Amino acid sequence: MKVSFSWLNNYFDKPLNIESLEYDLTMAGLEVDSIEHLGASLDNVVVGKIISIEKHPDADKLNVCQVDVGSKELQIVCGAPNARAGIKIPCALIGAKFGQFEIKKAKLRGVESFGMLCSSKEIGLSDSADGLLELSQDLNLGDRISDALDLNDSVLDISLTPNRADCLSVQGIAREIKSLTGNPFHLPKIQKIESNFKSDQKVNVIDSNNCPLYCGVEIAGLNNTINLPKELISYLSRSDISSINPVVDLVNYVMLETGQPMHAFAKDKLTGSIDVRPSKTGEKIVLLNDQEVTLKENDLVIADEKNVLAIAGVMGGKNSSVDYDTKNIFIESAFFTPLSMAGKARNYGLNTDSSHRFERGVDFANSQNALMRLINLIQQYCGGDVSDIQEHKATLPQRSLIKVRPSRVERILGTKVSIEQMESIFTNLGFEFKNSGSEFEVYPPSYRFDLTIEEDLIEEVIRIIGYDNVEAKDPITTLSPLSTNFATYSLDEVRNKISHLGFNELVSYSFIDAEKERDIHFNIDEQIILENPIAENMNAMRSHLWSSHLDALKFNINRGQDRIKFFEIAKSFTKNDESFNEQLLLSGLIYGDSIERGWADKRRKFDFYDLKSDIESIVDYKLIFKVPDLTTNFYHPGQEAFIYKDSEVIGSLGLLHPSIQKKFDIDGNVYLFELDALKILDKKLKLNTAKLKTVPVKRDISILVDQEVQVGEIISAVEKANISNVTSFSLFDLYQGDGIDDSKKSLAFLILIQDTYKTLEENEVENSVQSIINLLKKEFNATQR
Amino acid sequence: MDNLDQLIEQAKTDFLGCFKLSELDHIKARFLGKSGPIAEAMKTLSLLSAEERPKKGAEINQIKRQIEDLLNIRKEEIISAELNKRLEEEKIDITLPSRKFEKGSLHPVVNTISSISKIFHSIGFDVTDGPEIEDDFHNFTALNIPESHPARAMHDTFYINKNYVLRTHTSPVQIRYMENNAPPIQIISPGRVYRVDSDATHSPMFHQVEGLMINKDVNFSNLKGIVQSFLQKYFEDEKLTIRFRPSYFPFTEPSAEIDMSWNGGWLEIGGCGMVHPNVLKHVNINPEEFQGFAFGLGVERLTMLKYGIDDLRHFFNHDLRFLEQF
Repeated sequence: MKVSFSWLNNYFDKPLNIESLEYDLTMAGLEVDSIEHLGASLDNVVVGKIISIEKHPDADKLNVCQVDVGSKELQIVCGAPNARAGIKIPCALIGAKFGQFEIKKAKLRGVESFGMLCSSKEIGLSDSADGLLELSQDLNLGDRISDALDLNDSVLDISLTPNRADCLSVQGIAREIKSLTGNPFHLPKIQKIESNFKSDQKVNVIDSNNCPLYCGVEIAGLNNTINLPKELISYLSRSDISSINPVVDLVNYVMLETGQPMHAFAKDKLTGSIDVRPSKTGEKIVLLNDQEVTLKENDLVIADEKNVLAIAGVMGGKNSSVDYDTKNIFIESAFFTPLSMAGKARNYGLNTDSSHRFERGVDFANSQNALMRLINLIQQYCGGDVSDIQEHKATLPQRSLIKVRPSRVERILGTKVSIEQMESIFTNLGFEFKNSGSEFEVYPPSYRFDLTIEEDLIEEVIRIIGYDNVEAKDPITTLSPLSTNFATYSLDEVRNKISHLGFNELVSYSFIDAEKERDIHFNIDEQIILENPIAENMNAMRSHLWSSHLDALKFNINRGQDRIKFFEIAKSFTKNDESFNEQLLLSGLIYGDSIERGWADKRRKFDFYDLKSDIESIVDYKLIFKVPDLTTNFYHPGQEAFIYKDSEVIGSLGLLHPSIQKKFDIDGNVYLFELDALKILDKKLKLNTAKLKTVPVKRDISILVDQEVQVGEIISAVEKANISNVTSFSLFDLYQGDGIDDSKKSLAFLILIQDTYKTLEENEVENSVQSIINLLKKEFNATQR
Repeated sequence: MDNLDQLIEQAKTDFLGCFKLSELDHIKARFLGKSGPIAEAMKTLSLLSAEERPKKGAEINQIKRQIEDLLNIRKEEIISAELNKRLEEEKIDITLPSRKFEKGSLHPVVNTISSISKIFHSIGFDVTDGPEIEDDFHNFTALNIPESHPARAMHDTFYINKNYVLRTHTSPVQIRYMENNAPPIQIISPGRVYRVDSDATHSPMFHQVEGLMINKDVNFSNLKGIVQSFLQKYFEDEKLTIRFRPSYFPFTEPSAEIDMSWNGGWLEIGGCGMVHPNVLKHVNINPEEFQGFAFGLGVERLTMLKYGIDDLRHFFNHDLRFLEQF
């Protein structure tokens, strides 16, 4: 809430100090976001008058003005279209400063100029202007502009938390200042209302649950063309409320003053009685802001016999609005319950000063007073006869008694607060209370919607004592060790391992372009779409991390990177009927050159086996790679693999499918992988001591097999056969080409043969090798070379 | 005998003319081999008288030894020359750049989460996790934010449907943990959260760390103590202080904003408070018996301060030139 400091100051006998006020309010939970000192930069700007004006001899758009600034006459060159003799304008003298810009004596196209004539923008009254600010002829020449226009004020911008609706008014903030500082304040005196006639305006409060209080009054024969005091209008503008016409301005003024939103209807535009009732589907209203709204069902409205007049507590309608010609008005001062107002304005895309206050809670005990204050002001400035005040009252919220135990206060705060201290705090806050010694019974005031339980009052106590006075003490507790799982890696350990393999960690948005994801993934039914995405290309939750990573890849390729390794550990999201699944994935990609360009080694591009090796390096146990039964359509069908742990698929890797690569407009091969992050954490803890006892015998064998035979099949067949003493069987050479039939390939394997206890005899070694060869012949139709 | 004396001279000359170990063996055979002059001279001994034989024998042996010594000396010389030659040949330009193995990098935001977890783990806080697609009950209702509450509007919530949202804060983890665990409780829960908000200082996805401690007497003073100690350890600055400012969160009472001393001023770093009795009741914990605190810290803010990063957007831009620095 923005509020004028001098308005606030008017309430106090002892003037407020703005710096200490800022601190006090902020430390009491009414955070002062900013303070704007209005006239601060206008020291050398005064009221001037253009006495005469001539065209500039050398510039079409410029004029040479003679300006009277009281003590002297100045020649000033000016380009404003409305510059003319006789008008009074703000005149910046030499030495005036606007931010970094200082007014100096200057020559403009050869004519000397001794100052600058100002628009409303330059003196901070508006954000834009297209000419000089024309001042009232009443102002005295030479007076400082900040005095003349009453700009010696500051605007406090207080950011209020939703519980402090009681401070959405000048009086509320004044009350808070009084509680904090003890500085007493005075409310404006309300004069007794002299009713001259009985209003014939009938009001039916049909929904009294949502509108338990409705006060109304009629004022007849007023003059809405008068000028309100400048000061009053400037208080409105300092709270960002523009001036409309006297009655509307006074309604807004009293709302800012008391926190009670009210509404004035043009009486002559009403037809018959006023109903406060739920809306019916399809009803329409053109609001004061010219917006036409079709009402939802069951929203509280104010309506006459023909039209909906207002969305209750939100905004009035255009067709019953008060204008300069209005003579007779009907004013409403009501209490609409926070529950009925919750989210209501937002449903229509609105947020008004009125709805904001009603939604958070308006002081129903003050609705009549506020109305009387408004009547006083309207009569004072616009005249008119006042009717009797009608009041429709149903069951208003009750402030129930709250018990506060001093022992509980100490237990929650960890700080001792004396009974006397609590009494004085409650008194200062204007609470009614009784103290039985072991317990306080507190009745919060009607404006404190936020106080309902003991803890709320404990907060009030410490808020007034000052949060700063709470000592910081480490808790005292029982020590017991946390459980640790030594058999698994932490995700941090995995991150370290993979980054040591040259991967850079990403954190990317969980959102993705639904359409793009549909392009690359197969299961559209699983896609989760957001109802209110922040951007069209972020409208779904990603089911894989890949498309984010491909975007990241593209971004970096465009910045000249030619060797890229990325990884990320993040959740993927899928939908299964109505349930949502989240899976933590370790996913990433490699792209470009396998090594940095350098003098030592020949460069080549990353390939499938580079990524396969990286994946094997971050997992402790043996992985099995298999060609998927059905192609994924995401990877290249000839370069893709599912990754198995025992018989369970825990991930995949492969070359990005060329058609997707094209869609992402990426040059060169991209190899991607994805692993279930929680399935790769197993750690090997058992040591194999058998290996350490003897030295293995090495044997090479070389075979020819058909091209189609997969090497992985051969290796796992040998491993599965469990041939005695064979401890390792690995490929060390692969050859296809000259000297070999086109349909064949040559494979060379290294066999390690080792017994746990003794050195093997030559014939035992030979037997093992022969068993392998026999197996390969039988199962893979291999021939020995 | 003259012949043999000449032999030594000859050996000297021949050995010196040799520069390879393999050749040296051939030359050695020429002098000391089975059919070499020394062996031949030995054979002639049998022709001598018994008196002359030992004398002559000793002479020959002595010459043989001299030749052997010469040979050994030359051998050493050649080995050492060959080694020197090899060392000279094998000299490289050690200033050539290395075969660069490019190491990767770890994302600073994740690093911060990891540091925070370590600090809290060291005082017995467990690290837990919860879903990012959260139901309305856990994200709002159980946290004392009923349907009609104005705070709902302030959360800028992403909706999946009427009942499910992207969690707007890490606080629902409190509820999930307390549903399944009895006090005493001390946990933190870092993770991604989402708000419909995007500008220079707001990202629609960001990270929070939630903290929760529930026991019989855990109080507001302790909250201030823990948060201050944590920040001192995180920033490695024992002089760092914090200040609490009254604030409002539906799920805590009293509630506070946490400001941290920074460059002579104060910087907002998170929110906290004593867990609201309604929240404890929602998870069947008796607020008369147990009480405690909860806090939420902004991970990006902590990361920016620690690493001197001036713009939030760097974190999610994926620019390798940025990422590589961590």
